[in-house]
Amino acid sequence: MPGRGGRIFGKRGINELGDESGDINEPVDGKSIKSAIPLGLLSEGEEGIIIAHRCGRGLRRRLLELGFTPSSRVRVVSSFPGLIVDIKGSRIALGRGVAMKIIVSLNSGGGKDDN
Amino acid sequence: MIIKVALIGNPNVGKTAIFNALTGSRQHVGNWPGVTVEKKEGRCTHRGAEMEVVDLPGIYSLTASSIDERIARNYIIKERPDVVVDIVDASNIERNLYLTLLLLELEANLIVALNMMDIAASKGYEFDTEKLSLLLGVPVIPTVATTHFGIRELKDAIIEAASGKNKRRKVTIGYGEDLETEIRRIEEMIMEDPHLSGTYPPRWLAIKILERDEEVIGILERYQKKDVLEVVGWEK
Ligand SMILES: Nc1nc2c(ncn2[C@@H]2O[C@H](COP(=O)(O)OP(=O)(O)OP(=O)(O)O)[C@@H](O)[C@H]2O)c(=O)[nH]1
Ligand SMILES: [Mg+2]
Repeated sequence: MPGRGGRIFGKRGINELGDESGDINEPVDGKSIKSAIPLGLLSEGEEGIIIAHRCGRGLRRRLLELGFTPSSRVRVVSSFPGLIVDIKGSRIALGRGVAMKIIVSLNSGGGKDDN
Repeated sequence: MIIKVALIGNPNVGKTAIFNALTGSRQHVGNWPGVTVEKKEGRCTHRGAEMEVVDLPGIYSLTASSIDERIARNYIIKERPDVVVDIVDASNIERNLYLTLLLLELEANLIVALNMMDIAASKGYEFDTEKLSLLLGVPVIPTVATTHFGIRELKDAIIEAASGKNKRRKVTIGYGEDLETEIRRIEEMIMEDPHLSGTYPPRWLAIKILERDEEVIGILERYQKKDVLEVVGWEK
């Protein structure tokens, strides 16, 4: 993804393209993280700022395409029976397992929200 | 000559509303071959030109990871519509423009319909559509599908784009020095096959192969471009 996604792919060499292992991304912007928790643990109405994807590159790519880019604000619209989140003005349904792989910070402020 | 027009865009941005505004009652609904996803086609005549319009499923990206994305992408790549109208929700532009960039990379003959302008206005958003058009290198037409605002201008733009006469700037999305070196290298290998590079945009193929896009890997296997597949360490 061009633009902000560049931080994730930018410095990776070509040799790493084959790497399918589930590496843990470095937190973006090198900020210290006060309360980093999986998105899947947020309750209805709670908001977080995306700081990392804890998964392999296939899923990470899909998440980026759906708008789960680093520094984006994400809000849990409903959490039962399935998880529905609001991200960049769209409501997206997530499996619980996937939601556990998106790490968010509960620190308010500093997030990037387009609307 | 019938102008083939495809409508594409994120879910819920007003594609069907634009489709209805363009085609009125001259439409029919079927299925995409082999799947139960609805296919809407319609026709209209504008300034003596006949257009055939297809309403594609709503998608966020153009990978082949869902049936809707596969339908939309295959339609753009294989059917080669004369004009692709990318419907962008003006009230949610950041998310929407990602798909626009993917369509630019696919080198589609693109027009952006900046829809939901009424909702954007109620949120206090203002647009410099000329600047946006300049940055994207494609025409940008503000619309409100539900009131038919901008539909005539959209039809005019479609006819002009189909004539191939509009002067547009070719916009390339850069990926930084490291990746650009690899993209160029693969592009050159692709250019060695005139049929391959005449069928698909070489830069698009190069980027997708670096993304290890399964369909593009399939294309390169069919064309037996072993040198390219080796670059990305692809072995059967
Ligand atoms: N206010 C306003 N509403 C619009 C506009 N365009 C479409 N709508 C409404 O937005 C909703 C979604 O429009 P659709 O045309 O169904 O959107 P779509 O892109 O076809 O949706 P999918 O096919 O589900 O992806 C409908 O309720 C439309 O009436 C617009 O320009 N302004
Ligand atoms: Mg629709």
